Amino acid sequence: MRICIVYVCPQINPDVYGPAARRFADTYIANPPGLNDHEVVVCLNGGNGHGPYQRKLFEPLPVTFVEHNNWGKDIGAFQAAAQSLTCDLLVCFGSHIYFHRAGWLDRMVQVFESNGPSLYGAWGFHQPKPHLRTTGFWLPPELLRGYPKTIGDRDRYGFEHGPESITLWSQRLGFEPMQVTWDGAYPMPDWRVVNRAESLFYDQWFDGTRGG
Amino acid sequence: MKVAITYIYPNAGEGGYFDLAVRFLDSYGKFPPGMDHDSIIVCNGSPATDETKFYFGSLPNLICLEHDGSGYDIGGFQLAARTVPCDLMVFFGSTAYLRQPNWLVRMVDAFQRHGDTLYGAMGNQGVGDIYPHIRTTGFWMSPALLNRYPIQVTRPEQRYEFEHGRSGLTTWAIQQGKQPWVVSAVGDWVLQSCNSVPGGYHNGNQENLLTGDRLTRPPYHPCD
Repeated sequence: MRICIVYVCPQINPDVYGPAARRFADTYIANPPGLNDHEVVVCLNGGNGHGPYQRKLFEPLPVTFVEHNNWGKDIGAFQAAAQSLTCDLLVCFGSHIYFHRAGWLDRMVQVFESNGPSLYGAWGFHQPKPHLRTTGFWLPPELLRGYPKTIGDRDRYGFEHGPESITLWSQRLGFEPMQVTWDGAYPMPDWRVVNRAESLFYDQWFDGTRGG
Repeated sequence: MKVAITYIYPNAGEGGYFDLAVRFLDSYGKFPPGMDHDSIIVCNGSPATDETKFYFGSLPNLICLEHDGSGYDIGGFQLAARTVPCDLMVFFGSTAYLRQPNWLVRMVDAFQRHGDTLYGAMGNQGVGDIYPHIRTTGFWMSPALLNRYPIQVTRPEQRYEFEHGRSGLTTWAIQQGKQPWVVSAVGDWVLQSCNSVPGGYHNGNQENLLTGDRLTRPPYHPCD
């Protein structure tokens, strides 16, 4: 199975996204993803080329760079990646994702192979609409390619948690959106607020100041 | 001095309120208050679920109150003032967000210099049936003073009277001998001078406002 991890690195506001990228790389190295072969693609969002600064952000992590015009911000980058990357499983990581325990990719793949093609995420919430958070999720790229709308800057929240979210849209197609923790995989009715130890990875919301 | 902030979270985030809460929290992270406080979330028309507590979990000393939604934001403010004891309470409507670092320090500083009265980040000098008023998307006062306001707001249409009507909070405060103040990042102005606040609600680019809401400019853009 070919696996692509796309990480979004906005080229605006380097004071915020530079340290975020460094944290992604550092925690990735400190908490290796596991045994599944994969490639890491960094989407430079809103940038015009990559140079030593961008490369240094991720060293020594082996990454390849692609560029996106920042339209739709992180979600736009994920959609662009789904269009351009050839893989069986696409892992979408926003800029604030980082890791705290080794083997996170193996866990993602294990659940994907057990349950089949669908939308997966680390955090499932029922408010304001049932949704898997889109700071970190994984799915077959065909599923994301099939989403019927190209997301612009004003549509991102709707993509995540609106009535036409990727979660609810996938569900309407017959795919069961699954929340995945280290110990379980849960269909929508069983989604719950997880604690830090259960969470596959962290982001700016689930960073230790929320969720216990 | 014990200080609490109150934020209204209607309908478990349905109807766009989740995004507004994200904006508020995002701005809170970007512009720290500068001092410790309790954080009251009024779950208006919905229960205080684990998810709600998770969403607001980055706020210090979190207290979630459940309200039936009567009186919308104002009913929620009145509930918080009745329920949580403190010396000063800051009231944020669901559309509010922060625009300056150390905003709470400024609010408390004004309160300590001018005493127990009504304060707001934005004022309106009034015209016609709209009486001079402190805008109620972001205001602060002692809960004891708010609790003396004689009208319990239970219906949506009462909210406008509460903000800018003849029997509204500002007019009532003035009748109690209280001088309402408009406080910005650069100074304090009596309500009657609110249009003169440099960078205030009605003056310039609003760059000195402590808080914003749906009517302030420039539009707030989350950075990612």
